[in-house]
Amino acid sequence: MNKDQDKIIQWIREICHHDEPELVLTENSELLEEGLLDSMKVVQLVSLLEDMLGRPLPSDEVTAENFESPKRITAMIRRLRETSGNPGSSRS
Amino acid sequence: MDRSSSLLLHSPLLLLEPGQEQKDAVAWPAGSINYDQLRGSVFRIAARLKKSGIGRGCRVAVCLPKSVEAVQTIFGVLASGAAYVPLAVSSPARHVHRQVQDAQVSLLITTPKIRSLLASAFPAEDLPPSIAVSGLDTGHGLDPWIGKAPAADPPSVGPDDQAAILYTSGTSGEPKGVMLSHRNILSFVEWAVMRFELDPEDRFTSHAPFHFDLSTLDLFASLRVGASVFLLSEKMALFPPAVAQAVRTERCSIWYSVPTALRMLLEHGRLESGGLPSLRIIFFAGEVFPLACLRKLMGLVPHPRYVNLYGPTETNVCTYHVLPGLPGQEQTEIPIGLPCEHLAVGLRGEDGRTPAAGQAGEIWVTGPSVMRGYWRRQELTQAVRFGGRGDSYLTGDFGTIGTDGRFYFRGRRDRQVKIRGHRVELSEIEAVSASCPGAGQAAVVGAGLQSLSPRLVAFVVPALGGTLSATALRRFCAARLPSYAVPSSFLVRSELPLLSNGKLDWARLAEWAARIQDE
Repeated sequence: MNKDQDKIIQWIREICHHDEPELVLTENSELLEEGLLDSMKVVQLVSLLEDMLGRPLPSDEVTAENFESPKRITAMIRRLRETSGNPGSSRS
Repeated sequence: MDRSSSLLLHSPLLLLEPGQEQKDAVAWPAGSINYDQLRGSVFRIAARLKKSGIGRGCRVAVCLPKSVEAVQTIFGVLASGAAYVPLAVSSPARHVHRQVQDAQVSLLITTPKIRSLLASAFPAEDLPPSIAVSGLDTGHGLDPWIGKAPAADPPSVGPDDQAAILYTSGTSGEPKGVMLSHRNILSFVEWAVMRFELDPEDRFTSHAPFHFDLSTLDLFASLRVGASVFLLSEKMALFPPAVAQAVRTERCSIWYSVPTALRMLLEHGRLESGGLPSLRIIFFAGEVFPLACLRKLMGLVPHPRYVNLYGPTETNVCTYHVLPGLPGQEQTEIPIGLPCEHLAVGLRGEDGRTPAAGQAGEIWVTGPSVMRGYWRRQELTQAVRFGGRGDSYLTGDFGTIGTDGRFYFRGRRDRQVKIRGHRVELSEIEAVSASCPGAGQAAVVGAGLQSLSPRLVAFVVPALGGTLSATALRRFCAARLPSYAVPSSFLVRSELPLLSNGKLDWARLAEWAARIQDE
C-alpha cells in the first residue's frame, strides 16, 4: 500500500513542479492548508487517481477532508479499492 | 431607495424583525448561527475594539479564511465605526505586509500561522498590533479575544464614512486600495434587492473571497433582507462535487461567482440534468463567460435566471443583463446589458465626446456606488474622475452600444497590444480561439512586446470531452483573423492558472509565455 502513497506523492510533486520546484513532500504534508493544491491541480490529481483506481472517484469522496494530505488520499484509495472488491487493480 | 440614505451596512442587526432572532444568519458545512447570536457577537467585537481605541476613522485588516468568525469580525469592525480591510489569506507574507502598511491599519485580525509568518519576516515595529484567531468555523473562535465585553453604544458613524478598503491587484503591481463608504456598498445592495426581488426566504451562497467585491452582495444583501448566507470555504471551493452537494443540501437559492467557478462546477461538479434545483438566480461577473460553456450550463441547469453583471471594484456592478434564454448558436457574445437604475453609464470617445452609434468608447459611470477614491492616491483618483464629479469613474474598459440598446464589452484598455504596428485586441483573439470546435476557454498574452520579435501566445483549454490540437487552432484562427493577430504559439492546457479571487492569473500566463521559444 505504501507503493500507492509513494506514487501519489510523486504525482503531487510533478503537478506542483512548475510553481514549487524545491517542494519537499511527506505523507503528512498539508496540501490544502499550505496552499499547494489549487483548483487546476486538484482536477489533475483527481484524474490521475481515477486512472490508478480504474474508475471514477465517487462524488462524495472528492472533498477537502480526503485531500488534506498524501496519507489521507492514500487512505481513501485503499478504502475505495476494498469496496470495489478488486484488489488486483493496484498491480502495475 | 430612500431608506439607504441613513442606513449603515450593519444597521439591519439593530432592527431585527420579530421572530428573526432565531433564524439562521450565517451557515457553513459544520454549523450555523442565528441572527441573535450574530448580533451578540458583532456588538461585543465592536465593544472590544472600542476599548482598544478603535472606531470611526480607523481601519482594521481582516486576513482570515472564509469562516463564520471572518463574517463576525467584518460586521464587528463596521459596528465599531471603523472600516474593514479584507486581505487574501493565500497571499505571500510580503503582500499582506505591504497592504497593512499601505492601509495604515490599527489592528490586524488573522490566524496564528499568518501572524507568525509575518513576525518572522518583518521587524515588530513594521507590523500593526494583531489578534490571532484559532478555532475557526466554530462560531466561538473570537470568544477568547472579545471575552465578556458588554455591547457598545452605536458609534456616531454616517453613511458617507468609510466602510471598506478593497485592494485591487493593479497591473503595475502597486497596491491600489478602493475606498468604499457605507452608502457606496448599500446603494448597490439596495439596487440588487429591488431589481431581483431578493427576500428573507433566500439562501445566498458566499463563493467569492471577502477581499473580492463580489462578496458584498453575499454578505450585505443577505443581511439587508434578513436572509441567510452559506459560506463555501476556499478549501471546499477546490472540490466542485462538494460544492454542488452543499448547494443541494443547503438549498441555496442565490449564486454569485466568476464564470470560472461555474465552469468548474459544470465540468467537474458531476451535475445531473436539472441539477441544483434550489437555485433561482445565478449571477456571474468579473470575466467574460465563454459562450459554449454558458450554453452547456444553461442546458443542464435550466431553471435559474442567469444574470451577467458588469462593473469594476471602483463602481461595483454598473450594468446587468438578464439572459432571456439559451443563447442561440449564431450568437457570438452576450451583452453586459443596461445601466443599473441607480447609476448613469455611458461611452466616451478619444476626443472626450460620445461616439457615433455603434462605435466603441470608454465606459464611464456616475452615481452613488462609485468609490470615494483610491486610498492615499489622490493623483490616481483624479485621473479616473471626469466632469469635476466626485462620484464619477472612467473604467478603462471599452464598450459599444448595440442596436438593442445594450452595452457590449470590448476589452480593457491595457489589453490592447501593438504587433508589427497593428493594434490588436487580445480579447478578440480569445473569443475567436475559444469558438474553435473542441475549445472551451482561451487566454491570449503578448510576449516580448518590447523586443524586435513581439508575439502572441494562446493558452486554450478543451471543452469537456472535446479534442483540440495546436494545428486545428492555428488553421481556425488563420481563417478568421488578420495574419498579425494569429498567435505564434497555441498551447493546449487542461486548466488555466487562477488567482485567489478565481480570476485568471495573467501574470503567471505571461511568465509561461515568456519561457516559450518561437515554434
